[in-house]
Amino acid sequence: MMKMKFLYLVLLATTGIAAIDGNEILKKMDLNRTWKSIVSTAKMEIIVDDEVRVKTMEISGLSEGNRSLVLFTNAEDEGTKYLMLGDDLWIYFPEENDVVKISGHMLKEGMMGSDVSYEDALEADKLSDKYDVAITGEEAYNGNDCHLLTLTAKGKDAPYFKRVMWVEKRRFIAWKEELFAKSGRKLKVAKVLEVKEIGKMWYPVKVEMINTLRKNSRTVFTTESISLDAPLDESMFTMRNLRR
Amino acid sequence: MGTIFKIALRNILRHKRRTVSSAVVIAVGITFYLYMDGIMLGMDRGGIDNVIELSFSAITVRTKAYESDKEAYPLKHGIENVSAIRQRLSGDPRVIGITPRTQFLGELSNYEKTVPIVGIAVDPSTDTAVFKLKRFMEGEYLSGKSNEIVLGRKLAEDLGVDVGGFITLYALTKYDSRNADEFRVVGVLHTTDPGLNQSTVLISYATADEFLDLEGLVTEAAVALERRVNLKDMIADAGEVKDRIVTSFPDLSATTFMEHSAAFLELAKGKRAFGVVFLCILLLIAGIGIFNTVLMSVYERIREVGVLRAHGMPPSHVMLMFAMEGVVTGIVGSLLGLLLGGLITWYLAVKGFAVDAIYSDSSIAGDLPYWGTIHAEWNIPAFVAMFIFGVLVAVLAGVIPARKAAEIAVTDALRFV
Repeated sequence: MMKMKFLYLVLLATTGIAAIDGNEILKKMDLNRTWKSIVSTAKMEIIVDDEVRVKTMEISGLSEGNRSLVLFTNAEDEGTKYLMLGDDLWIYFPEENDVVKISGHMLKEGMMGSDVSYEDALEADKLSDKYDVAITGEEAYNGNDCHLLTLTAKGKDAPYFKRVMWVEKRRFIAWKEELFAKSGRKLKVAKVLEVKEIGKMWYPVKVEMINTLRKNSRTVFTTESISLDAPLDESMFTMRNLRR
Repeated sequence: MGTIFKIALRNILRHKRRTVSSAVVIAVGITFYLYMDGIMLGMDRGGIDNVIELSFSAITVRTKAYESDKEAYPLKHGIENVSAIRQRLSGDPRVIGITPRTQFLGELSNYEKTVPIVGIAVDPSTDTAVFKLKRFMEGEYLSGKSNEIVLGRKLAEDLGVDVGGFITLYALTKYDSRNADEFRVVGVLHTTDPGLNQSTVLISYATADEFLDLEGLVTEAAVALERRVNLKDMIADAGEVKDRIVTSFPDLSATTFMEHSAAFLELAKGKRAFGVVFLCILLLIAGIGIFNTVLMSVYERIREVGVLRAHGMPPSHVMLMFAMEGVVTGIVGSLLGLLLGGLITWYLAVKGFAVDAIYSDSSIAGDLPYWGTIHAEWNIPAFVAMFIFGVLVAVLAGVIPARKAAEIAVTDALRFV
């Protein structure tokens, strides 16, 4: 009887683990990335060879409508603002008192010469919407037991054709991610260096992005303070406010 | 009249040094003018020829939607049917080629660094009929095989790659998905257009369809026209063919090389205005020189004027005599100037003037379409105008002081020292 009970428990445990399929993991990961609003201050270190350029910024965002406003606060770019409304981005240059619209294409390029694109930094799409997922293995990463996930683009409009992720089994944090082109070439590697628990979420507050097409080039994005789901005035995300 | 002309001719031969110096001053002024004028016109035409033959073609056809967003090089708003345009223009002897092109933005990487580029997907079988890039090619042109690339020489140097080497091209597909792949460098462009050398890569449509998910997207059709010696004829041809295109295809927008080069032509206009001022100053200096030379000769000959007047020559004949001397000196000087100016223009029209050697490394080189070897242009109206100018200046320079001399009392003129 004891033996039967043990077998039952083993079976239950096994089927329980198997029940967590790739889509389930993605959904849980998406929960770690899902918020209604965000207010944060952040630092971006662009490291090319031995040179380090630091950009600091204040970020406000609403997930509804994919709206965000970034105000740069470092001396070199002080007063420069980015306003993203859906797929459109406007940049305000205080010295010229002028606004320039950045096209959809440019959103995919490195922000301020970094390895992080505007889209990488500001995207709010759910991974499960754009990718099919398969669990392709298990691996420990930095002492954390991880699922190895392979995401393949559902359609042609996914930002990357393939993504391979090391997702911690317990907290569903994607500690490492490799981003691939359609040709199979690795384009970027993203590593989460630090996470912070905010409510029920594990938010990556320090992320390193490496562009594999450029040797000795990486960007470290650090969120220094963050507040999620606080009420935000919608008038912040207007062209009028951009010029203010 | 005949006697006066004979006296004038004898005076010219008598005062050889003075006559020669006056004629030389006129000749130098005219030579400089013709040289400068030929070069400036040559620069304008050379710049326009480069735009037509290397980067833009005579007319570029795009959709209106693309035209309004062209700065972003969007991979959308394609031309549905390039063959329909080809069919519409077939039979027009001015049209010598039409080729599809699709431009895109991207980066080239050697895994050490990346360099931003403007990529162009081309049809190798028709592109060479419109663009003369093969003339500036090291290696081979695209054959249509997959993953071949042609890039500008400056790009190749920056990335340390040469013909036969491999380079990674990164770009966004038509669906804004990132893609990167390795390409074999089959050719390196060393054109007279710094923009092409610095930032342009060419790949074939066969490759681009796969790499950029183009699915046959063609964003522009480039139309080549027969080269006309006279730029005005070329402009007229382009205008007429453009009208035929936009009348037949109301959804399309056609831009001629003149419209495309508006900024350059504004610059050229400014440059010409500056050139005209410069040349006016040059001619003024030449005029003052001539005037001064003739004035000196008139004052040296006041006693002679007194003698002629004492023999009964009226003041009007004195003036006529000096005017005739001026005409002859002017004709000799002007002809000499036309000859020298013509020789220089001929030499520069045939041999050319290497502009890129002057500022190939300059940052301004990328902004100005003055590339390669500029060939001087003949400007026949300028030759005619300069001949008239030379004679006129010589006559005026002789008559004005002669009038004063003729007005002096005969006794005073005879006593003049």
